[in-house]
Amino acid sequence: MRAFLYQFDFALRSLLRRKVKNFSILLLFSLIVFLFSAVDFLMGSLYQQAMTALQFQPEIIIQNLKAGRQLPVPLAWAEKIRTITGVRKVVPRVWGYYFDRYTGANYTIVGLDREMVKGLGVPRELLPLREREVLVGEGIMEGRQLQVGKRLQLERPDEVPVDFTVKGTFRSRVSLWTYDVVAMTEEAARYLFDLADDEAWDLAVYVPNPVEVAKVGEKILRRIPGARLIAKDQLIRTYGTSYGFRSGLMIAVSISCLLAFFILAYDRAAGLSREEQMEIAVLKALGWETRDVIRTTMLQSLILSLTGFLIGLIAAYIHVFILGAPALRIAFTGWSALYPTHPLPPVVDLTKVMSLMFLTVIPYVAVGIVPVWRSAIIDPEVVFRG
Amino acid sequence: MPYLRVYAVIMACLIALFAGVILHGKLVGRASQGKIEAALQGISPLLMSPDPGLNNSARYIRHLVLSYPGAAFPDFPAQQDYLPAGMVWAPPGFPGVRTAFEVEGER
Amino acid sequence: MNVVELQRVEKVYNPGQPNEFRALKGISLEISPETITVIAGPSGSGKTTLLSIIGLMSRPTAGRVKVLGRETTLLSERFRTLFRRRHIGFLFQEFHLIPDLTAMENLKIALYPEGPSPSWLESRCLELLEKFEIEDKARMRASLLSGGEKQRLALARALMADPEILLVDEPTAHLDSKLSHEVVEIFRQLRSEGKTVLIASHDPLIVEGDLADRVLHLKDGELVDEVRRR
Repeated sequence: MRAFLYQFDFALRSLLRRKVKNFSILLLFSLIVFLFSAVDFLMGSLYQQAMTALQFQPEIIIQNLKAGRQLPVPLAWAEKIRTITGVRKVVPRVWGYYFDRYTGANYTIVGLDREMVKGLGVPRELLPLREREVLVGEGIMEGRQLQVGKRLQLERPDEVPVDFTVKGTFRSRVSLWTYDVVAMTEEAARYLFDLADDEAWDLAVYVPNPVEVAKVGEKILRRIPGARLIAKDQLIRTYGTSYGFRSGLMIAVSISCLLAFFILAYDRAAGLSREEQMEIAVLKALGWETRDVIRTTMLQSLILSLTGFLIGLIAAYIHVFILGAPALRIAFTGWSALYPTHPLPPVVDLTKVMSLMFLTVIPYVAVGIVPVWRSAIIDPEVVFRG
Repeated sequence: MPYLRVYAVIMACLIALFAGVILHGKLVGRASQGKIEAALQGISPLLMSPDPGLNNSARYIRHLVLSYPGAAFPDFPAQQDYLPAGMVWAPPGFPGVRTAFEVEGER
Repeated sequence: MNVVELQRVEKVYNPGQPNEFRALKGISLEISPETITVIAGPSGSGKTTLLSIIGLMSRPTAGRVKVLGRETTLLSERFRTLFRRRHIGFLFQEFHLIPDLTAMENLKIALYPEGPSPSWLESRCLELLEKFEIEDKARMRASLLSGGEKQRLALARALMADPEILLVDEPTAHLDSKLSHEVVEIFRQLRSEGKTVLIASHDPLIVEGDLADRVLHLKDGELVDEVRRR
């Protein structure tokens, strides 16, 4: 055991003898692990939140398509769908996007009817909303420098201004989802978007039994051919793919780091310098066995890679879950002028962490064994002769 | 073995931090998840999901554009996010917003 | 019992190839304990090769080698290394110190595989540094030592395990006259302490001086002459 500890100490000493090179390796290793871990942490947290949010969404959403273009949905469709067995409720939704030229941001305007208001988790004193009262997301409050009681002016498609009074905002815990939301009465939303009274933008259909969703969908299509149906599990799958795509994108961006890692590994695998070979020969001449020499080299690789891994991982966690992932959030939270800054709830998948460790530390250690072994089995006298 | 001692201290700190990260993630994550679930349920009427990815470029890019996978600016339910427009370019000109393109059109 | 016995030892480099070179051609010799034996000869005569074979750093192509009564020719690499570590010290012509390590560290690494206690190791290093009067250089990097100091450090390293046999290759190659005489005295002292010393050299001070108990002359890999002084 003591011999092992001496060799460990010697391995550390050897690393310190080539400070610049080894610190660069350590830094690069940490950076690679940081990038991969940060992307994984962020993606995992956002994905988990998205999945949590989606579980409360309607099972089917119905849109109206003509010639491949989306049009308002006639409210008469809701009546046809309500009578289908298995449908708990159908909620026509009036909502849309509003481009605010003052902030360069896009808001999501949501018109709330009585049904929607019932389930809305905001302080009681904020409900019900009167006709020109709005609840505004934190991003809009900041972007337009609003306060409760102040005026928010929006414009109709014909540029007619519409004034609203800010009645309140949403709790910061869910700011990621409500950051750019403006909630108002359904009537106000119809007026703002110039939507007719007998129309909605889509219909939310709630089917309590998940097994019946496909069947209900079929029946809807029979009654309303040409309608576009979007099922919740489609969204769940697609959302996962979307995040997979985004994280893949981020990882592709770090391809230069990966390249550097492979160059490092190749440098290790390609063989030892004359100086390193001489040192091994000296150690052999002094009485170090081949396995002692190999062990010391492996320890050097392990020290660098394991330390780099831990530093990278811890830095990634702090960056994402304590500092709010300032560098990476933009890529994952979508294109919007409004970026919520509250830290995300931490999600750590130990399996992925261990997998990353096995994919980085072990190859790096393994790659150095053969060149050292090749040098260590040579008689020292042959090396000294040159 | 002076170097080993120093490194042992460094590693002990790193391992403690690592363990802290895992524990923090599990404990705080679990606690946060419960609160978030309750909060998300409360605001679910406000979350318009058919533009998937509740945070997705498509929530504002409402071009009446090509709706097939692989289109330059895809805009259909269940479409993936896209580049470069989604992340780099400004939103399109909406009615009432004067842009250079509109000015040229007027000429 | 002889400390070293060689029977018809041959060493061929690159056998069967165009650059084949026969460094040793059937050498047989015996070395008695507590003696100083000098292996003399011009450059390329096979002195260093002979020391390497006796020091178990190289395998003979043919013949048998016995060290301290132990047949070593067919030992595995592992046992050769262990045996060398415990019983044979080697002082190289080029010293082969690790330049970025301190004097103390260069001594310690010789015994790391044995795993002695840190306190014993530290005291053993200081003992040898004091013996060779370089204790004030303990924390100095080996690359910053003078030629004479490097040699004494290399000698101290060779003696770390208190080996019975000390093999020395051209000890005066990098030294001036004064230092050379000092080194000769050190070898005399080691013999009086019970060590068996083999020195490969072509320095007249060592070959023709009164240091050696016996001088073996090598030429072109063959033992051509032997002079016994004591």
